Amino acid sequence: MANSINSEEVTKIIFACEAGMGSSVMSVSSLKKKLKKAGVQGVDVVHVAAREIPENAQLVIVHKGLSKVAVAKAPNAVVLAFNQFLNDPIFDKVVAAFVQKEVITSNVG
Amino acid sequence: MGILSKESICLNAVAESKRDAIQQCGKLLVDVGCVMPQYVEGMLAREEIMSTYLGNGVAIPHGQFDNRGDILKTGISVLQIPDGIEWEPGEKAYLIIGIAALRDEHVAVLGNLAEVIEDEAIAEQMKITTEVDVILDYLNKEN
Repeated sequence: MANSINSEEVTKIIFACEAGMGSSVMSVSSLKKKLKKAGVQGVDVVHVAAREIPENAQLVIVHKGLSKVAVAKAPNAVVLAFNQFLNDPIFDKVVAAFVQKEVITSNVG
Repeated sequence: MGILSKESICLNAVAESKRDAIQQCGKLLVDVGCVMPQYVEGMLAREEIMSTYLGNGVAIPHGQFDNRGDILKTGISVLQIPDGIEWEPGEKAYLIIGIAALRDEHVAVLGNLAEVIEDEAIAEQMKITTEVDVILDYLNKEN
């Protein structure tokens, strides 16, 4: 499993939840707004059901209860797990990593 | 008819329990022809696994991946409980937003909902309003 990726290489952030219709949609909306506010461009944010995470995903953000599924689906992706669907501190950390062009490191595994 | 219409909004509801609230919220989706009755069982099952409480008095019950077959068309329902119902220990939900989605037609409505949750004054207004249009105006807002 890849443990880290340079934020400059990330073109797509994938949010996953169980059904892919509720919680992750809310998180996508929230993160998109934060990225826009921070002036980050060139990165897409999408939502999917956990079992449909593409194998070639670069950066996957999931609720901690689904982190194992995410790692199994996309073994080469950097997986970040969070606790709250809105306003989890990890969202601000991700935005900051993009703004400062830092390396993002997986917090599961 | 849009994803959210006045037929799928119920104001001034009373619920005996979280389970009762989810059943009422799910029935709204059944009544407008969005889901089969068994979808509501999926909503209850999902809630057992992980709470859909989002914060600021809002919960978003919805089915699981395997319940997609019980969805006839994408739709959203709103159950407003002015007195609230305990959703998590110490946390009451006042706005219960039922979701049944086949694709992405509902993303704009949920985006508006995210804004509402972040704005305490608007969330407060939606919890007590007696006008369906107030709910519709905030959630169906075009961006």
